[in-house]
Amino acid sequence: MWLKQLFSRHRLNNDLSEEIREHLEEKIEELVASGMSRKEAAHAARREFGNVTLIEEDSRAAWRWPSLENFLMDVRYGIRMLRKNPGFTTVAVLTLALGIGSNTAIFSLINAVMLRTLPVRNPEQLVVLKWKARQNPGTRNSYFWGGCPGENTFSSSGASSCSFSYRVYEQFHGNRDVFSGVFGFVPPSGVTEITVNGQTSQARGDFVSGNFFSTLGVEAAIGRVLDPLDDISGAPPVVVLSHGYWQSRFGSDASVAGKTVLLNGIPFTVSGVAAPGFVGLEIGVPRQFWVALAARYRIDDRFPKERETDAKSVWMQMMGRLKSGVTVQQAEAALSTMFASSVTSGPDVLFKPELDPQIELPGASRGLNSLREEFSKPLFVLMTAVGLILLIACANVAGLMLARAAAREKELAVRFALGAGRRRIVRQLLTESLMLAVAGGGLGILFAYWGARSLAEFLASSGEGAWEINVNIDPRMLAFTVGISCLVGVFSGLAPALRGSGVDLIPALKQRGSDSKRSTRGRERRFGLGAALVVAQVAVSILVLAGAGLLVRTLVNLRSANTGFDARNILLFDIDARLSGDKGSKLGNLYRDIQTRLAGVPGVLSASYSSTTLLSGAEMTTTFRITDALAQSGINVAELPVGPDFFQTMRIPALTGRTFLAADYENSGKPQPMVINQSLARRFFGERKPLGRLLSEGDTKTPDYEVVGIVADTKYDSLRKEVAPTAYLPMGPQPGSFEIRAAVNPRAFIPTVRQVLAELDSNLVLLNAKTQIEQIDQGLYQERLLANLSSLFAALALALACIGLYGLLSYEVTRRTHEIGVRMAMGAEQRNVLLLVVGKGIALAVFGITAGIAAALGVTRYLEAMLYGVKPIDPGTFLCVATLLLGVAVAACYIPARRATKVDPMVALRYE
Amino acid sequence: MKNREQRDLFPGALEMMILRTLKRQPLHGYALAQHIKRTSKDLLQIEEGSLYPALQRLLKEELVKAVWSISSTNRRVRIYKLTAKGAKHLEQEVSRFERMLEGITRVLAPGES
Repeated sequence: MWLKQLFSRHRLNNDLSEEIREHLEEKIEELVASGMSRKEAAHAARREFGNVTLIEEDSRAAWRWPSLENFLMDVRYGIRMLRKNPGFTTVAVLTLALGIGSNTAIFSLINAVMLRTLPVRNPEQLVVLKWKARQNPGTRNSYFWGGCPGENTFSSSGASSCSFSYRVYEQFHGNRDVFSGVFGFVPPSGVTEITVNGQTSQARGDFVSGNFFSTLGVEAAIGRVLDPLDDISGAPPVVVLSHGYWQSRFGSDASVAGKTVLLNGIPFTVSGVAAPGFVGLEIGVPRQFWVALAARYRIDDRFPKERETDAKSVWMQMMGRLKSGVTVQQAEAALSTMFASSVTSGPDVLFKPELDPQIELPGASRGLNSLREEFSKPLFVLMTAVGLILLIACANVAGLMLARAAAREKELAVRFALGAGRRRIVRQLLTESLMLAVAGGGLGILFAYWGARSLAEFLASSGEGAWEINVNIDPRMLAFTVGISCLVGVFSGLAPALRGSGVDLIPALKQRGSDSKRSTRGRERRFGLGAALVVAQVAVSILVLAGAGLLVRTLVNLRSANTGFDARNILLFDIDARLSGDKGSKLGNLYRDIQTRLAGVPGVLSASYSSTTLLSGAEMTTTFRITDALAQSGINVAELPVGPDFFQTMRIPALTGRTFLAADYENSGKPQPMVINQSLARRFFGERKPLGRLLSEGDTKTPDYEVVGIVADTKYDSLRKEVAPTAYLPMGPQPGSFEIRAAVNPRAFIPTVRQVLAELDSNLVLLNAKTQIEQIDQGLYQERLLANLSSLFAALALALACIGLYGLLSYEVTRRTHEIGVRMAMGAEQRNVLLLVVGKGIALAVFGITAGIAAALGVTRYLEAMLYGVKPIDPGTFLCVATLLLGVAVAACYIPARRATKVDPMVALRYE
Repeated sequence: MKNREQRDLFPGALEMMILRTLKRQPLHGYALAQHIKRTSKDLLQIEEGSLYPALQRLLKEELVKAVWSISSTNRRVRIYKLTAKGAKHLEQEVSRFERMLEGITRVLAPGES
C-alpha cells in the first residue's frame, strides 16, 4: 500500500495544493460576502489558515518514509550544489579518488599476496612440515626451493628448513596418526620443456606424491588427476595440466585426456586437467603441470639417484592435512618424537642428539609464500604511505569544504530562517560530503584497477623469478573501498557540517562574508581549524617525502654498490642442450666449444660460462673441511663451478696463485684445483698460507680439492649480503650459463651468438639473453618498486599539500579583502600586504615541517631493514625534504599573494 | 524555531474531533473547519490549516476515505468519509479520553486536602 503511495506522490501533492487553494477561496468568498474587501478577506483568510507552505509540508510529511525521502532530497540538492561549483567538485573528487584508489590498489595487492587462501578444501587444515635444530645437521647435500615459511637458516646459530631426506619422507608419508594425508613435492632442478604438437616451450611444474590432489581436495575438470598408482616406480608416465595452461597451450581441447606430450623429449600421457583456479602451492609462481615423484628420473637428470636414498641429502618438501580434532601442538609433539629418533640413530646419523631436532608445522592455508616473506615489509610500508595520503586527501577535502561552508553562510542562514532544523542541515552537509566520497570512490576503483594491474605487471616483469599475481577486484576489495569511502565522507564532512550549522542568523543574513564588524570568536576558531588542517597536511607530506627520499637513496646506493667485478658490457645467456641429446662429457665439450668460438668473435673481449651467473639470486652452498683437520667442524661456504677464463671475463682480480687452466677441465682426478676468495682464505686459514692446502667435502680422508689460487672478493647472489667465503671449482659437464664480455653494447652480439650456436648444432636454442646490468636491476625489483611507488606517493602528497595551502590562503585573501583594502588605504605598501599573505603561508609551512620532521625522527626507524647505505635518520635527506616543501609552500603562496596586492582599496572598502 | 507542537490540544485530540465530526456526516476540509469552530463555540482556537496534516495522517492510517466531487457551490472539493476502521478507532479514542478526563477531574476536585 505504501509503495503505491510512494509512486502516486506527485498526484498526492497536486491534490493537496488544490485542496488548500480551494479552502482559501471558499473562506475568502465567505468573508467577502460578509462585507470585507477582497484584499482584506484574502489577508484574513491566510492569517487564520496559518503558514500554507509549512502546512503543505506537514501534510506531505504524514505520508513519508521520512529518512529515505529526506535522504533522496539531500542527494538531489547535493548534486545541484556540486554541479554549481565544478572547480571545487573536480578537485575534491580527484583528490579523494587518488587517495581511495591508491589505498584500494595496494590493498588488492596485499589481498592477492598475503590474504588469499589456497583454492582447496578446508585450507586451514593444511600445514607444511619443517624441521629445526640447534645447529645445522651434517648433510651431504641440501637443497632449498623457496617458499618455506620463516627463516631458512643454515648457519651455526640454529637451523631450520623445509627440506627433508627421502627416508624421512617415506616415514611420514604413510602417517595416519595425526594426518589425514601427507604428500611430498619438489620442483624439477632445471627448466622443463613441454612439446605439444611439435611446438616446444618452457613450463613450470612440480613432482608430487600420488596423493597430492586427493589430500588437497582438488578435483579434475577433465579426465583424472594423479593417484597413488601413478606414483609407483615403473608406472606409465602421466602428467596433469593446470586449467589455465590447458586453456592457453591446448586451446581448451576437450579431448586432451589421453593425448601424448613430450616433457624434455620424453613422452608422457596427459591424464587430465585440474580444476580451474588451482595453480600449485606457491603464491605468485603458478605451476602448469604435475608429475608423479616416481616419474621424475625420466625427465630430471640433474639429480643423481644416489641422493634420493641418501639419508644425508635433504631435498624433499612435505605438506600435510591435519586430522580433525588434532591440534598443531599435538601433531608437532608426536612427529618430533618420531623424527628425532629416526635422524639421530641408525647408520647415517643426520643430527647429533644434542642438537635436539624437532618438527614444526606452520600453517599453510595460504600456501607457500616466498612472495609474502619478501614483500610483507615493503607492502606494509606502502600501505602506511597510502594511508597517510588518504589522510592528507581527507584533510584537503575537509579544508575545501570548510571554506565553502563559510561561503555558503548566507544560504544556510536563509534555510534556518525558513525553519530547517540543525540536525537536518548537518545531515544535508554530510550527505554532500558522502556523495563526494562516493564519486571519489567510484573513480578510485578505476584508478585502483588500473594501478593494481600496473603493479602486477611490474612484478611480473622482474625477470626469471617473475611473479604472476592475480590482482583482480573481489568482494573483499570492493567492501574495503566502500567502507573507506563512507569513512572518508563522514570524516571530511563532519567538521564543516558542524561548523556550518552553528551559524548566527542575523549577521549572516546581512553580511556578504567579510567579518571585520563581527565579534568573530566563532570565526577565528573556524579559521583555526583550516590552518590546523594545512599544518597537518604539511607534516604528513614530510613523512611521506622523508620515507621516499630514504628509499630512493637506498636504490641509488645499491645500483652503485661495488660488486667486486666489472658488470659493464657483459652479456649473459643460457642454452638448452637437452633437446640435442647432449649429456655427460659431451655436454662439457659442447660448452667448451661454444666458449672457444665465442671468444674468437671480433668485438668479444672474452667469454666464459658458470653454473649460475653472478647476482642472479641463486647461490650454491656446501660444507668443506680441511683434510688434515677433519675433526674440526666444517665451514659453510658458497661454491661456484666456473668455466675457463671466468675471472678474466668478469674482471675479478686474481691475487695469488693461479686461476684455472685448460688442463684442469680435462682431468677429473682428485684432488681437483680450487680457487678461493679472500674471505674464505681469511675465514679458513687465517694467517697461514692457503695455497696448496687440501680440502674435503665429505667425511672422507681423501682430499677432494687443493687450493691453487686466491681472487678478490665479489658479491655472489645478492648485493645486500656481505661477501661470503666462496670457492670456485672447475665446472664439470653440467648445464650452466654463459658470460661474454664485449667491447661495447653487449646486446648487439645476440644475433652473432645465435649464429655460433647454430653452426655447432642446429638444435641449440638461445635462452634468457640479458646483460649483467639488467640482471642486477632485476634483482633489485623490490627496491625499485619501493623507490618508484614511494616517489609517486611523495609527489602526490606534495601536490595535495600545495593545493591545501593554496586553497587556504586564497580563501583567506577573499575573506579579508575588506581588511586589506583598509590597510592599503591607510598607507600600507604592496610589500606589506605581500608579507601578510606570504608570511602566514610560510608560518604554516614551517609549523608543518617541524611537526613532520619530529614525527619522521620517530617513525623512519621502521624502514631500517630496507635501507642500504643510508641511516633512517639521515640529516641530508631530511634537510632536502624540508627545503623542497618550503619551496613548494612559497610557490603556493604566490598567486594568493599577488591577488592580495591587486586589491583596489576603493572597491574593497565599498564592500561594506 | 521549528516548534510546531504549539497546539493546546493533546496529540490525537484533533484527529478525534475530526473523526467524530465525520461520523455525523462526510465533509470537505473547509466545512470541517467551520463545523469544529462552531460546535466548540470558539472555545478551541485551531488554525484552519492544521486540519490538513491531520487529515493526511488519517488518510494514511486508512481511518478516513477521500473522494473528489463537486460541492453545492460548484466548487471542486475533496470529501472525507469515515471508514469502518475509523469508527472503531474513534470509539477507542473517545473511551480512553473520557477515562483520562475523569481521572483529571477527580484530582482537580476541591475538598480533598
